[in-house]
Amino acid sequence: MAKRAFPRSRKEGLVIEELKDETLVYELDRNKAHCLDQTAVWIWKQCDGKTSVSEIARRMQKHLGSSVDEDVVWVGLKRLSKAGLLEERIQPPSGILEGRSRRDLLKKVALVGGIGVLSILVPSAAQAASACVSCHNAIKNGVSEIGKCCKNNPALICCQVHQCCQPGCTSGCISV
Amino acid sequence: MKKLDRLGWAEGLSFSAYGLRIGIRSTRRGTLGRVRGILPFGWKRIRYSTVDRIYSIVIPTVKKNSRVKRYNVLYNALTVLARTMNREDIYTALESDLALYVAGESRREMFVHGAVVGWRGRGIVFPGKSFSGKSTLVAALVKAGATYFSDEYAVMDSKGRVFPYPIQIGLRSPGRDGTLKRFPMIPRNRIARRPVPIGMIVLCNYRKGAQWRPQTCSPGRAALSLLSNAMSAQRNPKKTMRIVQHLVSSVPVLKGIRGEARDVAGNLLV
Repeated sequence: MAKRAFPRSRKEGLVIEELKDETLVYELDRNKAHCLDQTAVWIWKQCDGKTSVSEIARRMQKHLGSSVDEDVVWVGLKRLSKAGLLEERIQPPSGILEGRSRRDLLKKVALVGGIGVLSILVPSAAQAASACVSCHNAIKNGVSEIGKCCKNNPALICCQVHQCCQPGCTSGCISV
Repeated sequence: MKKLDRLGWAEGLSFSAYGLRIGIRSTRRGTLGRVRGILPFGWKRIRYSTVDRIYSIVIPTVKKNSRVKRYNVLYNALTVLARTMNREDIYTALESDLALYVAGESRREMFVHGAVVGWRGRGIVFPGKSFSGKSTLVAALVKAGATYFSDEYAVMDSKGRVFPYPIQIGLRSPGRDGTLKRFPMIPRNRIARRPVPIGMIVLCNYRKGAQWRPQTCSPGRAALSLLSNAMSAQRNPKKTMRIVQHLVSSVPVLKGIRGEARDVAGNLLV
């Protein structure tokens, strides 16, 4: 984990769509989708690999017209880093964000309107559907027979119609 | 593939659905009559010889007094999708795989797992996973006067329209071996035939005794909810993101926990 004071936002392999007050980001390699609020997007856009965290805090102060603590930028960077939206994982230097209570930090973040980074793992078609997936996804030799097809994948249950059900699906399914 | 191609194919069918060309062939005459009943909604016969996907149904000829087990086999290209003695299983596997394929690979439309009803010329979309109570809700809404669009997929496009995908509503109720399904009848004149503009997206889950007090959901959160139910997001993220962006920017999204379906139906259809 690199301790970079010059964060760089990720540019490659992303699909970005702007909403009214938020931004949607899709990571093509990890199939993750993120929703960033205005403040998170603003911090993310400042991450060019040349601007230091203290400089970002200074610019943010100018942008919002109110005082902004450097801790707030670190909180934003940590969230962006955790979401995988920075080139390198970022860790605040020792002394920064340490010794402050969570409540104090949240207060500071609330003063800038919050920094929201929501993430989800986007499902595949089979995961998103209620329909069970065909057995060939779970078996080795391509042959599907009741009670045999899902043995290689204990997370799936073999059902009566030669299909492997997702966990939670009980309709028409039998246990292996 | 050549080996499979050499089998004597008795009949075949090429059709298009949602921009995809699909072929189905069978070694037994008369099979396609049954297959036509399980094709995706709105399929059209085509005459192209090249297709995006070919399904092959191999049905053996059973000789009298033979002890050899002869299986019915369903292939997608060279992959065995099902091998079974019961022919109905072949059709079930084909129907399931066709639905997944069309929903995941559709060229223009975005398939979201969920339910849709129409009300006063607008569509109300309920994205949701299985067992979230959407079929019960749809049945209650249709009973209260809404038009039935779909119980399985909300098929939406970049113009903000929702298309009918009317498959039979399946309501689950507790049974001896897990759950049983029953299928309430919907009158033909209550089943939608044409697309309509989307009027509202409702994100809800069932909780016994809960009161329906929906709140407006932010476009970003609504977009994540749609993406988590979208069938084509992984296969075609650019198209999906474009449609999702358009939808959440132009359509109101409500979110809440609901109690009994008929109470929500009365609230939504005003």
